[in-house]
Amino acid sequence: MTRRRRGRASEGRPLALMLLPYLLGLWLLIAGPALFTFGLAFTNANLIRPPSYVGLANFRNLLHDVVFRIALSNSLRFLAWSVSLRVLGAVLLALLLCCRGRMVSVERTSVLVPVVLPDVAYALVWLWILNPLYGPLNLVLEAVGIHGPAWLSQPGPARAGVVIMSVFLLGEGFVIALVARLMVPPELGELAVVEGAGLWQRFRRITLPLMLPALLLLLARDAIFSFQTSFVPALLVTGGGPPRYSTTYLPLFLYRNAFEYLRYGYAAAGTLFMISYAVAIVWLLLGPVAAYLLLHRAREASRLGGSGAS
Amino acid sequence: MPGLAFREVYVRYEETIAVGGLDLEAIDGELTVIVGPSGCGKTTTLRVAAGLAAAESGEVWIGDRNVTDLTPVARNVGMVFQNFALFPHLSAGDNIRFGLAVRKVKRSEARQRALAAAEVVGCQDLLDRMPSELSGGEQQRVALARALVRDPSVFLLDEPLSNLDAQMRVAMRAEVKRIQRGTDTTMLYVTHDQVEALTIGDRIAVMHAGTLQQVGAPDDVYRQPSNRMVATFIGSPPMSILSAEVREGALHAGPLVLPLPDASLPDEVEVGVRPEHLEIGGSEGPGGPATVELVEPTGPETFVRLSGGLVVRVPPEVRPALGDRVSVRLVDPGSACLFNAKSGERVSSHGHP
Repeated sequence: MTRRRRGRASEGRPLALMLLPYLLGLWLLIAGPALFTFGLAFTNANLIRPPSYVGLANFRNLLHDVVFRIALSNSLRFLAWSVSLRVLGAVLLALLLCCRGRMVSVERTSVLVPVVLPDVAYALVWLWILNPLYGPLNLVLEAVGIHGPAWLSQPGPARAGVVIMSVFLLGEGFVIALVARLMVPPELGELAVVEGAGLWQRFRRITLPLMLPALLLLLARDAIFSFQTSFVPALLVTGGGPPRYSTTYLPLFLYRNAFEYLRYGYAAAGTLFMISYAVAIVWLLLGPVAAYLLLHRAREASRLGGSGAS
Repeated sequence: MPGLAFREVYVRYEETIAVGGLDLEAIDGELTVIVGPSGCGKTTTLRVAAGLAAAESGEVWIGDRNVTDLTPVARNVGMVFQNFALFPHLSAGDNIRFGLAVRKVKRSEARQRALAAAEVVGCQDLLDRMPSELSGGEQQRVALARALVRDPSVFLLDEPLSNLDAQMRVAMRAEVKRIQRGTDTTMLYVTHDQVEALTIGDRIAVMHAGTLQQVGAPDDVYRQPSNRMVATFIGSPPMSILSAEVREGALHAGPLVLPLPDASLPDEVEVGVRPEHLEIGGSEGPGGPATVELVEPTGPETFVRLSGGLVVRVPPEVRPALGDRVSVRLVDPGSACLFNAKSGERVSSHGHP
């Protein structure tokens, strides 16, 4: 017993040593700045004057800031469209590309390619694709008889453009969905066929429920990331416009305040807002599931206890 | 209940022939076992019967219906897989009711039918449990009930006992047999385990390399194997095969001497003998000389392996030592099988030409 405990203690030290670089990075780059941001949110810090405590003034100003409100509503709309399209697309592609075949591995790879492109290159490609005069998207639309919009200079099409740009970056979600689909044992599908289930029944009764845990995580992940995925296209492709602030999303709003207008305290307060929104959204998405699971477990426990007593 | 028949079924996977021209009938109300080493095409055959794999040519009949081009659903078969294939997110009861739910059978009726099926296989107390809470044997019972509940025309079982531990396998073997008798269903049962095949089957079909070697009652296949492959695959330990030559008006095979059969013999002959048809005696006894190479006690009987490849079954109280010189002889020369050494086909059972 004592020897075992000593063994564990001596195992602990190298483990801690191996974790050290990661923990160091976590503190220096994430936890530290986060705490610092939290503090900054209650000051009027900028580069010009020494910072002083201003209480909740930043938060009060944010609530009355029209641009902040526009950015918030843009971000929520982006989240709704982008996340649902990305998850739906990832699942559909996973279902299409889960079988074996000669071209399947090529197709799987091509779904992933946009993700590995550098952000700037990806943005420039889309600047060209969305160009109303010579961009391929409008040329294709023209060919089928649709007069394409001036994508980046009208508010609606510009927002749609940013959503489309984010949808093509669903590669990582696709990998997760594909693995979840491949984890469903093929015999289950075959048995369902023998039992008389058609394509839709098999998906609804077998494949989807078995993929669901992974899909919920994917949904939550994409929701959190949606704040980030809107940043690069807004900064590099639309520049937050067209007026007024059609594609100014929360991250761009905060970035401008912090690094262009140098209002550090104000931006920090906005960041706290953004984080709490992310947390709230994840809770909205996963809360019902967690509640269901807890309820299910409790019911299970009472049933097992009950049958044990009888 | 209708039977199941394969007519000239031919299946190929790219270049390899999985099933080459199979003609086989699973008779109405009987348990037919397809047995063979892995890769012999037995599982493919079962999948063709279910409609999960397509035959390149040939026909599958269920009763008087040609089902070759029908979907699995239209064939109305029940299936049990080796790994049970229970839906992990559904309770045992929901698993059993799955086929009924898909067919939109009323909930109350589905409940009743599932309970009836569960009672047949003895899992009526497990219906509320999830598959992860069931032992292997219990999972197999649920899988059987799920196959039973729809009243399928034919049952297809793919190595249903291979994932169970040895004791549970023996118990479930008897259960499957009991269920088949009780429900009077046509079952096609695939296994690589020849003991399982012999104990459970009304008839067994031995397959090897995609072709059917022999079909018959277990006793007949055991006693009258149609070729060397069947002779050595069925029976444990397997039949010993010795090459033989005709000398001085008798057939000499290692230490054994057999009278010549009435039938004409091919140029090269092999003699096959089962362990229980041999007996050993002291070195001076009647029969040919041999040396003891291995002694394998199994409890009720002991198997003695002799030089030259012969295996002899002896009563448990007989325990020769390694290296002992003994004499060995056939108790009844008529029990030996003769094979054409080139083709492997049986020439005639000695004594019954």
